[in-house]
Amino acid sequence: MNSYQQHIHEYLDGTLPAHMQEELFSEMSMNEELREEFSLQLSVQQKVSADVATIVAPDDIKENVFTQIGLPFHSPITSVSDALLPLPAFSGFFSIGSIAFIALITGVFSTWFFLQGNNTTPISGNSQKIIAYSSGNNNANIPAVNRSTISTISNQSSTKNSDRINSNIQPIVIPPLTLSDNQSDGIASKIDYGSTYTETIYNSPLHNYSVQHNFSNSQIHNNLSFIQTPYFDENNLQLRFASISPIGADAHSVFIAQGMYELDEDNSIGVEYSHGSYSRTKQEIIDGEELSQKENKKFTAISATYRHNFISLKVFDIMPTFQVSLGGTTTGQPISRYSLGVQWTPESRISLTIGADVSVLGYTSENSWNTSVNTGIVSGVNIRF
Amino acid sequence: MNHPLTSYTDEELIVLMKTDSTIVAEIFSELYDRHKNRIYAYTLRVTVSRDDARDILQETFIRFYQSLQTTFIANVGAYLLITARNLCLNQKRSQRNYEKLSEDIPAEEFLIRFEHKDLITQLSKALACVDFDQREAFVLRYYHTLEYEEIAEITGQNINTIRNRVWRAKEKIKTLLAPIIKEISA
Repeated sequence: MNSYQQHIHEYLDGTLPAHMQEELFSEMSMNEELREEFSLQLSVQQKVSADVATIVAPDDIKENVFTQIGLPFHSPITSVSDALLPLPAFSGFFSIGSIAFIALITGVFSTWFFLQGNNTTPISGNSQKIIAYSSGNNNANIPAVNRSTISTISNQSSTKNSDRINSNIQPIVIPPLTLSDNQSDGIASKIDYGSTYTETIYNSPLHNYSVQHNFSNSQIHNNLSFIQTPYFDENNLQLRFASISPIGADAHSVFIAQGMYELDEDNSIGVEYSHGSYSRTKQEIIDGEELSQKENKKFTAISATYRHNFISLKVFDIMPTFQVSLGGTTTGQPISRYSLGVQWTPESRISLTIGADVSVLGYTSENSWNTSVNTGIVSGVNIRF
Repeated sequence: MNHPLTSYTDEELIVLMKTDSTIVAEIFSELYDRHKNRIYAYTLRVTVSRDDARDILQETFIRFYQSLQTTFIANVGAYLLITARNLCLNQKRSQRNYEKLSEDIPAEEFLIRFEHKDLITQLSKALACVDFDQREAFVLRYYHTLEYEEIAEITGQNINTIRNRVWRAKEKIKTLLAPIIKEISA
């Protein structure tokens, strides 16, 4: 039987010599089992022919190829089954060129803000952000301050903002003021008396400024030279670099870089670049019942980020912080990231963060959406400009 | 142009591409359309994964285009097939943890699982149960209708080895599908 089975195969394959064909058919005429075998093999071969005709390359791949090699692609209007529809066109927006452009713009603005903030410029009169710092001799021309622009004045205690000041610049003593105080030149005139400083905090809509130093009149006079806005005054930019250390079997490391803008002390928004890997389950053809596999894919993503600092819970320069990022990968997959942790600010321009992080990345396999969840410990450093 | 691109051979199109840079996209598009289904059929049936097949098809044509910039490719079909094959082999090597849940499943179990599927689905399932080398030889022989000599040349194997692989693949598929085929015939 086996040799005839093979002869049938060779016959259908077109490789059975003519003289053996005659022998095969002679044998088949007498053997029903062989005829069944012939019928079976013929059915298989017919199915293969039918299968070949059904396999059509997905339409969206052509556009991907053209995009990758940089050729213009004009997609013909074709009807595509749902199973083959590409994901929403994230990929066009997040092309390499777009990322480079965003990076360029971010870099230019960061540099500009940094340079602006470090200029030594006199404080302007009538500024609501009334804080002045001086160094050198006592010939400072301290500008008048229109108190009517001060929204609130309180006597809260805080030292953090003064810590941000360049150590070469000493704070001018600002006397305690009240909203009822209508003197317009209070800062300068008050400097000459009062042997010690009393803390005052001015609350502007976006900033709290405080000066909390105790020193004598003589020290003040000896230190007055020029007035400078503190370099952090106008700028609220942060660069943050972080990495996620994976927890769990399918978790992966991720590198994160963020450019953040502080809306106020609690809230920041910004742009996040992330690069790492994720696990995906591969499905077998058609309905994925026989073959399953975990594979690792790299991704690069751009996300919009919001961070909230729970400053009211701050203890010893440590405060809880929560962050959420939503965006897409360069290959058009949606990604979101959530982290909850603590931020320690040992120095006003540097903060260290650590916390738990969960990332969810969506991808399509076969006909359906799937998600890859990555968990880990995120740790990073914030640099404030 | 007076003549549509479809009237040129692959080799003529490549020459045309190198002489007229204004229609590179159109020519490449024509070459893609000519060969995409054939290459996709190979990658889909050899990798038995639609995701892998898509990735490999895309990468094959990207490499083909890159090679066109520096090399004259005399046989486009063979070049594409060999490129796709190399990518499939790379993929296979990178999948050490590949889990073939249905490998070596008996025909009775195959019948229970897939008797309600259509015949094409049953065939692809059966093909997935075949050893990689045998499956590849089978696909090249029956999906690409290559001669045994050509398959031997592409795979670097002895021609008798290829014949044997094709035969074994066909036997395995036949064994798995036999109960279903008989049931339909009855």
